[in-house]
This record gives sequence, C-alpha cells and structure tokens, in this order.
Amino acid sequence: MQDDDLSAAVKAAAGGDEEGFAVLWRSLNPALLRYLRVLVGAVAEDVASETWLQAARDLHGFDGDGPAFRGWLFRIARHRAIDDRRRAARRPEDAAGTVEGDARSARDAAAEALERSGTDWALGLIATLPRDQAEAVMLRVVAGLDVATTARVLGKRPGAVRVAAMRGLRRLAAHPEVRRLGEIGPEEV
Amino acid sequence: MNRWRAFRSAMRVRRTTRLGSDDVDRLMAGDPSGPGHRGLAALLSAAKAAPTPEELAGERAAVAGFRSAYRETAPAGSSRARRSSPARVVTLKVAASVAVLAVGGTAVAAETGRLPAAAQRQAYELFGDLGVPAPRPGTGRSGADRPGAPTTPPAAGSASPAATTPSGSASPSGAAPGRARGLCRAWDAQRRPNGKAMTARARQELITLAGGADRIADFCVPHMPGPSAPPSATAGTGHGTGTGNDTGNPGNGNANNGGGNGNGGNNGNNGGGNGNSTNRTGNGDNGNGKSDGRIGNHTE
Repeated sequence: MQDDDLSAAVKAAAGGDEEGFAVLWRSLNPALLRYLRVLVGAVAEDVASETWLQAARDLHGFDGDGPAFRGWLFRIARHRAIDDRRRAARRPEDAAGTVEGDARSARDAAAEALERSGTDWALGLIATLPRDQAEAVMLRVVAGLDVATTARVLGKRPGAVRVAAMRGLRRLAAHPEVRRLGEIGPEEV
Repeated sequence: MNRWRAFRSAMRVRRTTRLGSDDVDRLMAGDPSGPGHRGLAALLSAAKAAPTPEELAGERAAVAGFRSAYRETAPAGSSRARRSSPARVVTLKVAASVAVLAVGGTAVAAETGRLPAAAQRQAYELFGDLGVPAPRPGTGRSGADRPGAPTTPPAAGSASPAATTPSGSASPSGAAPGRARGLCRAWDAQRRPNGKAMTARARQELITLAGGADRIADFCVPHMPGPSAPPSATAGTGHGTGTGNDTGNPGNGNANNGGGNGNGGNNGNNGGGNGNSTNRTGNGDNGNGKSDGRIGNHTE
C-alpha cells in the first residue's frame, strides 16, 4: 500500500472511521502477524488482537502519518509480545496453558501439513536467529520499516539495527537449507 | 563429477557468506541480487509473500473491537473535526459559568454559608451567553493551591468575568502527584508517532487514578508540559478554582476541549458549581464535595 493511502486511512481511523481502520488492518495485519509469529510463535494471533485493540484505544490521539503509524503499531506489538513472554515466564506451571498449547501446536502442525508454504518455512528459519537479528530482519524486510523507524521500535541506534540486520542475513544465507535453495533456484521453491 | 559439484557448492557458500551492506540494501528492497544470494533472496521473498486468507480472516472482529474501544476512550463526539465547533461554544459557556460562580458565588456563599445549585444555574442562565472570552490553551496550571485547603481565603483562585482566563488550578490527583505526572507523560508520549509504548501495568494504574480509561485525557491535562499538551486538548484548556473553606464555597470548573470536569472542591456542606460539557458526570477528583449542581451541560 502506498504511504499516501495509508496516511489517509490513519487520518480517517483517528477520527473514528471504521473503514479507515479496516484499511489499516488489511494492509498491516499480515506483516504484523508474521513479525509476531517470529517473536511469540503460536500466540501470535492473540498478541496481534491485543495490539490492534490498544491501537484502537489510542488512535484518537494519534496525529502522525502512515509510515509513522506503521512504526507505532509495531512498537505496540513488540511491547505486547514482551508482556506476553513475561506472563508466560511467570507461570511455567500453568497447566491450562500447556493443554491449550498442545491443542494449538497440533492444529498448527495440521495446517502446516496441509499447506506447507514457503512463508512458514522462511519465518521458521528467521525465528532461529538471535532475537535482535530476527527482529531487525522482520521489521526491515517484512514490515518494510526504514532503518530509523526500526531503530525506534527496537529502542536501538540505527547503526545497531544495520549491524543486526546484516548479521541476521549472513546467518540466514549460510543456513544449509538456504544454500540448497540457492543451488536449485527460487523458481523451484 | 561429484567432486566438481562439491567444489561449485563450496564456492557458492563462500560467495554467499560475503554479504556486503550493498547486498543487504538490495535484498531489503526486494531486488534480486547476485547469484550468490539467490537462496537468501528466495527466503526473504517467501517471508514477505502476499497475505494468506488466514492472515486476513479476522477483519470483522478487529473492526468491531475498534468500534467499542474507540467509543470507550475517544473524547465525546468521537470525531475531532466535528467536535471542534461545539467544543468552543461549550468552553465559552463553561468559562462564563466558572467566572460567575467564582465571584458571585463566593460572595453569596461568604454571607449565607451556602450556595444552592439553583442559584448557580440561574447565574449561568443569566450570564452564560454573554460571550466571555475562551480560555487560552495551557493556562491556569500554575496554581498550587489545593481545593479544600481551609487556610486559603475564599476568593483565592477565583476569576473575574473580565479576565480572559479563570486562573488557579488544583492538582487533580489526590495521592501522588509526581506519580500521576510520570504516568501522564508516558501516556502522552506513547500517543506520539515515535513515543514509547506504556506498559500494561502503568496504563492500568493510570486508568485507576483517572477513574476510567475515558477520563485519562481530562485527568492528564494539568500534568502536561504547556506547549506539548496532548492532541485531544487543543481546543482550549482552562481551570477555574474556587477554593473551598468551611463556609462551603463553589468548587472548581475545569474546561478542557469541551470535556470539562467540575470539581466540587469544598469541604463544607454544599456542592460546588461546575460546568460539564460532555454528557459524562462531573467527577470530583478529590473525593470531597462531589458536586451536584451540574450546569452548562452540553448536548450535541
């Protein structure tokens, strides 16, 4: 989506317009979900819902443009994800969570078996990176944030973001599956 | 033959690991880079492939969530654009009523010891439309007197009708003004494009302090640094405080952005006057003398 269209949607949504919000959701939710899948795995959808809810609550005070909203949304998502991880860490004995997790992973496994997409494979591989590298790659490549915005989302300096993204990509490039892919060519994926 | 393949593969690996910053920029931008990075390029394009139907399945629920969340927290009227004009009118009326109550009301109350709500309403009806100038944004925050302080003279913090701004305001948080200020700053910061998001806990604490998620904006007005008042408080902010004493004087009126709260800040036995421009109930932040004389109620 063009930044201008996104900016118009942000303005409409900030004024309470539901269609404006729907446009934002449609254009950003896929990338948001993928970012969260790398961060929190199976609970990505829940965290994405929380993220949108908080964005909806605070939208009326938002007066930035489309790209600014993109960064803002991903920053909310990151904080929600961190909260979620803290909660999960505090309740390691949570039996209900285990059962739910089992059900969820079984469902995910089934879904993966049905349609093992290149996207799932790619996200799975990115998720094996050290967290700072995985986040830098996801925000830069998938969310389409520029270095400065990514730096603000992550609370780092732009230079650190560049280094993290570079290291992440190098590590990915060296992965056996990626190397094999390079040999057979992307058209066969 | 096998050895040749292994050699080629090894070369490819070496080239692949020599990923430079130019390559990174190209890959980030989605450009196909050299053959050495074909695998990586494929991985990245898979990571940002077109959305799947599953990723777009929750739109209706998300919009429904937006509807209720936005209603819950947005200032009354839900649209800033539509609200701005009535808000100004309301601000004028509230300013007028505050001024009348602060001066006229104090005088009456000083003599009789009580100020009936009916008198306030009458005063408002008489003077409410006289066109007292709207308060300037960001004024009226400097007053340090707290409502209900028994030592303060009744006239303190009052505004004369000729003055453009009712002056003198009270700290709205009863317990910890410093904490409230910190929370409000954090809340304000996260609404800016590049601000830091609040933690859920801080947010909850602020909601509790403010007395509801939809009251945060009003609650935080006095805690904001002047020029960077929150976007929702741009229509004009004014606080008028009539400091209560034992004789029971009117409380303060607080007009901000059409969402004015009135505090009955007296510790006497009657409710102070207030102007409330939204259809919310006037909230007495200080817990004493919650006012019952709600006037200047704005209906859209």
